[in-house]
Amino acid sequence: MASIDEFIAASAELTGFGGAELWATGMAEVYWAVVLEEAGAAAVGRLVAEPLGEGERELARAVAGLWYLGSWSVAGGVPVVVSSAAYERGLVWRAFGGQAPGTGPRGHGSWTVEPERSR
Amino acid sequence: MSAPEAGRWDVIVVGAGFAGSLVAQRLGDQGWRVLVLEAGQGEPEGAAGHRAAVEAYRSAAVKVPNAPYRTTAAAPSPSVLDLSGRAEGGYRSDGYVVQRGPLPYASGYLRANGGTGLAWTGLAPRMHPEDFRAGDFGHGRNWPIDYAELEPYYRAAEREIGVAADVAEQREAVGLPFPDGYAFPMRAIPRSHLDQVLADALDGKCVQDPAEEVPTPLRVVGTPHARNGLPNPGYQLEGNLCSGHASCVPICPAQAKYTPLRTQARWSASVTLVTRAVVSRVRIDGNGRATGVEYRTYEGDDHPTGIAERRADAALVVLAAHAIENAKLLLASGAANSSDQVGRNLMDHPVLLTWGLMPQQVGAYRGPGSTSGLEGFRFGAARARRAPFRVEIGNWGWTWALGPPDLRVAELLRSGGAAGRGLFGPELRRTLGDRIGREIAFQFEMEQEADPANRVTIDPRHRDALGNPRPVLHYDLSEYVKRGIVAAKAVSDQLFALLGAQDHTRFEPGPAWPGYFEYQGRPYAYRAAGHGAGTHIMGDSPADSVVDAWQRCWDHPNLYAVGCGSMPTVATSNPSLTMAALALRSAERIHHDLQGLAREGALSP
Ligand SMILES: Cc1cc2nc3c(=O)[nH]c(=O)nc-3n(C[C@H](O)[C@H](O)[C@H](O)COP(=O)(O)OP(=O)(O)OC[C@H]3O[C@@H](n4cnc5c(N)ncnc54)[C@H](O)[C@@H]3O)c2cc1C
Ligand code: SF4
Repeated sequence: MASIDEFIAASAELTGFGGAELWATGMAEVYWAVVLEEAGAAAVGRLVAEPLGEGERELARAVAGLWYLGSWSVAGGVPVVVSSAAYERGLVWRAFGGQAPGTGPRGHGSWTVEPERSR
Repeated sequence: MSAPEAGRWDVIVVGAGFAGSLVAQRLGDQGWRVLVLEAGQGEPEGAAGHRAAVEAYRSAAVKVPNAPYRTTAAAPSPSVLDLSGRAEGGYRSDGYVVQRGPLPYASGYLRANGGTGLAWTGLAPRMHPEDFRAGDFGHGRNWPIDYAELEPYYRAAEREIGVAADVAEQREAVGLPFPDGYAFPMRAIPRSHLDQVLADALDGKCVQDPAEEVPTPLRVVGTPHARNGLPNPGYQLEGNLCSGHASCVPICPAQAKYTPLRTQARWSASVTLVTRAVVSRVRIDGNGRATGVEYRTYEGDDHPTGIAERRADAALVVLAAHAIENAKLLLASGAANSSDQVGRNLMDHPVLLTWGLMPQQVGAYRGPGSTSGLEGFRFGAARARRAPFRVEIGNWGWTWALGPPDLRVAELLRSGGAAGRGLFGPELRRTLGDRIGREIAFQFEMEQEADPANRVTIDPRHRDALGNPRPVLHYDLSEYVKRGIVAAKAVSDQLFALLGAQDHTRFEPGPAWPGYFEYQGRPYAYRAAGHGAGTHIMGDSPADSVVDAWQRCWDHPNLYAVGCGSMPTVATSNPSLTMAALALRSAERIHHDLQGLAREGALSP
């Protein structure tokens, strides 16, 4: 069976965020459990062996989406938000230097200053 | 039949939403015994309830306005999710509200303690003096009162709900009269970085509105907000300063945005709230006087149980159940309709959205949903030719137009990249990082004129879980509104050009656009702002209006219907501040009426 380290390495390839950055979200173990549960060990094994291969493209999309949005979504299905923490830590907000709406306060008038540039 | 709240009350207020909470507060302060019957659920309350609602919002898959709030089958609420567009054009509606018009009434509302004012955005501009005379331009109606009459109540409402704005800017850039020395309770909410970028590019430039003879000068103007800014002397903040959580719709984690629960916290001990109490009928005696209401209490959320029929008696009844529900209640009671105008003149703000990408990062998805707008298309002679509109600058990227960034992520994963098989890795990160923070949108809020054909009716075949009638709506956009939309689109094209922005606006029939239509051979679509109005329209004659200038039903001397339903025009400003001012004004009149009844000995001790 694939290990969580292999899962993180594959996730890094899929998301463009480094392994350390993914661990730093605090969601690694939760997502590893979600992915195993939803996709099964065999499919996950194929994914980590070749993250960008054609074989598990749907699963690759779901895993990247999970990291970016904090929700599990498969083609045609309604996305399920893993938890409010997962929503808050979605990488899509990090990607452009933003924050998920309704989370972590900034200060009064913080929206007036020039945005932090992404990357 | 007996309930703890049985007995005779001075006043029954139906609905503990925006308008009802204000009226109850004012009457309670005068010592009147007020029973407030609220159809929706009211628990859990307090800090724990707020935390639970924030949590529900964060973990909701689709973050629509009603998402954080529990609703019940006994008092259903329409949601924007009830509507979808058909691939070949047209729409379908699957929710609580039955829709029969050529185009959908596309706004939701919320039936839970606090009402739609829990989920509202919190923009609180006044109407302009000209807005009270829309009929003079040949479209819609005139008000029986003018701006000067309402002005003191605007000030009272601004204090009660807590409005942050710059009086000099409102005076000069919007043309609003204020008494000398007036200051809003709070200093203006700071404009967003996006507003500043737009002001740098647009202020002093002009665009050509096709309905105008001369070009319209542009100026980015701050919007008054019912959310906490820095207090001016003499004003005590409640809740925290607005700290830019960017989720005002549907919930402000900092409790910086006004909600009616704040007013409820100020209720005196003579106000009694009963939640899970759905009023089904106003009782009217042979002399045309309201004697009280019939209502049903229930338990449970998804399936009402323990349903009990109840009644309560009062010297005076105030309907404050939302424009559509007020009309429904009047129709179900056979009340107030000698003019045949109950339920008619349903208005909203149809919203044309346009969206694009700015050349630079603008910090999308920060701060309140909109902090500034363009005011130059609201007034003047062009009003005779096309619906006027207010332009809101959207701070939340493409959320309202296309949904949150989730959908852009999903699309890139599905079909991005050179081969169209999905974009991954550093390219995905780079693309999202580049685009999302450049998203902008304009929200053109169109005035819709009172048209008797746009209406709420009831039909015994359509009932809810308690057996109450569901609203049946017939809604359409007039040529006048459509010409306004055409003008707004032309303005939008020029704005994008002046900004050097890439215009991504595209309307096509399909699930995402129930408000799709074609006009003069071109595709358009609208969304709706949640500003339902007009259904118990105010006027100066019982022949063609439902309520008088006090929001008192012409046909029943002790029955009031308060809320946006009374507004003869919805104008181009977000309506709730005006609604609040009207409610406070009515509360004075109700107090006066009750004093009269007390003198006559018509009130029980
Ligand atoms: C997403 C959204 C954003 C908005 N943003 C803004 C904004 O920025 N600025 C603005 O000015 N306006 C805004 N509005 C509009 C604003 O919310 C409404 O104008 C306002 O809430 C209407 O107040 P009301 O008291 O008439 O109705 P509500 O606030 O809806 O309250 C009605 C109450 O009556 C109760 N009720 C209903 N039927 C019964 C019954 N049969 N028996 C007992 N109780 C009943 C309901 O449960 C509810 O609590 C927005 C609306 C929406 C949906
Ligand atoms: S921007 Fe944030 S803090 Fe301010 S009102 Fe909106 S949700 Fe509340």
